[in-house]
Amino acid sequence: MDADTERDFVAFVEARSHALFRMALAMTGHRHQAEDLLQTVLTKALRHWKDIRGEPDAYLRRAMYRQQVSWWRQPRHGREVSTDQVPDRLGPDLTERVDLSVALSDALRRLAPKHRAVLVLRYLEDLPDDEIAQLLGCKPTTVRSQIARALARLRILCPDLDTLAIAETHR
Amino acid sequence: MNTELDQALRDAFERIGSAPPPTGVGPAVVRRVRRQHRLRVTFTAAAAVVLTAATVPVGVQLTQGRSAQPGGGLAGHRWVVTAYSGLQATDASPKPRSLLLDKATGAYVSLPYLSALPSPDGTRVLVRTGDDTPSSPLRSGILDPGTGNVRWISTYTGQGTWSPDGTEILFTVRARLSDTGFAIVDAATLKASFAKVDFTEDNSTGLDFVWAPSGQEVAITVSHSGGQESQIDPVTGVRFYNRGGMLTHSVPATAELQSEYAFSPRGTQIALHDDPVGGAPARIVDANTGTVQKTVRLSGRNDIVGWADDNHLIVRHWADDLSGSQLRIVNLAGHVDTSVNLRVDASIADQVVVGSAEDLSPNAAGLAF
Repeated sequence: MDADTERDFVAFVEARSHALFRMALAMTGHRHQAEDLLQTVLTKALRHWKDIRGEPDAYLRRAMYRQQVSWWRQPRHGREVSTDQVPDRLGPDLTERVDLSVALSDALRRLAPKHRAVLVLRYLEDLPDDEIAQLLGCKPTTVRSQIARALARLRILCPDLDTLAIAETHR
Repeated sequence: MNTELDQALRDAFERIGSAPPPTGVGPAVVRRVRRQHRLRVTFTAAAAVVLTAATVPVGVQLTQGRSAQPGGGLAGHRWVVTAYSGLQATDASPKPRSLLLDKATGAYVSLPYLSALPSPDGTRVLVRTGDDTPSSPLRSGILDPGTGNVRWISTYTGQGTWSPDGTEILFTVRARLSDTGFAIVDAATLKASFAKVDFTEDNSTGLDFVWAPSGQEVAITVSHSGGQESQIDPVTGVRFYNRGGMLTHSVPATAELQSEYAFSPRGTQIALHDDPVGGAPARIVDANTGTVQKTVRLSGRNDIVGWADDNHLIVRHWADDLSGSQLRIVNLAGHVDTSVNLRVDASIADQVVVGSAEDLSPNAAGLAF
């Protein structure tokens, strides 16, 4: 790894750290895990920097998705994590007016990371299905299927979503 | 999806992701890579691994007091995990690896591959490596566990599967110039034959071709996008093709054919399963007609690993938080006859391969179930 590569890499990270960290946070739902995720994929990226520097964003999105999904099945990431914030949980008093945005955020945090990750690519990164498919190495129909599964699970975790009128159409 | 829900999701993700990034990430990563590079150089001389020397004592442990049949297993049948395929990198093991059982010693050999699938007779192992970058593309090869030599398959990069007789490997091909279909590679000569099948439009769930028990046909799940994003694409059937890619017959189905292990030992039944949110039953169908013969209720999240005999499934049951898994032998009434905990450091492997415990070293009898 030469000095030019290091300078190029550091400049890229400084310019893109906000967007990359936002994606990591959305995928993990937890600041410490997001920092772990970002540092892990950036470490991989630096090792392959000469190959990917023409299009590092796509590589990093794909790496983040894969890393997060693989962590999903590892004990140290599946266990309870410490947090300095009280999680947004619905209180036991069901007569209270349910705040949909809070309930949705809570449900997204509890969604399986594989499902949450594909929703992040669509709704936060705003990528079309074709591009998500390219990133994940699958077909657009598979992406739609994964999103459908994620949304189905989300509805179970957040029944209040049904208060929104649903009129599904494909993109 | 309507705009309201669409916007609600965007807002929720924006809210979750709205925090300032940590400072100094770039330089920290550079320092980390430099440090790892120094460590790698230090250990290179010792890293010329002799296959049989890199054993690790990882296996299955019978769950004490949780087995419905003390001692576990079915009369006359003993099983063992022959491979843990696909263990992701950790701080302790910085590269992906797989574990392969050496039946002679009863120890698991650590292999530096993304996956390791032993052939049915255990004499060869289909391995896969690469991280899908230009400098390290994905590729598959056939490992001789006796010598450690790998013969690489240059043509196909997907995840292959062994034929029932262990002489061939099946690859699903989704992009070969403009053709899709499947390829069968001879394990001895590495000669490949490609069969064109336009299957992608009828396979919205993205499943691969699997071997039929005869080895003369392959099968694939038929599914279509239902047009409603919030609903799972419905499975409508399973199609069987001969080795030349000609459709031979179809059977109706409402759940997925996920692997060749879904066929019962005599090949007369198939265990179909689709478990996107947990709790889905396995559907035991007639292999010729698709008629549902049994619905096996399963609690929690499960994968069908295979059949123990014509009346029992081997199921991989995941913990609620997916932090680990165990193997269960479940009869077709849904009763769990045996539960076997997998070691924590291997229980999250992408795939657990189970085979006969015959020829297993007596010293490793505790691994069998």
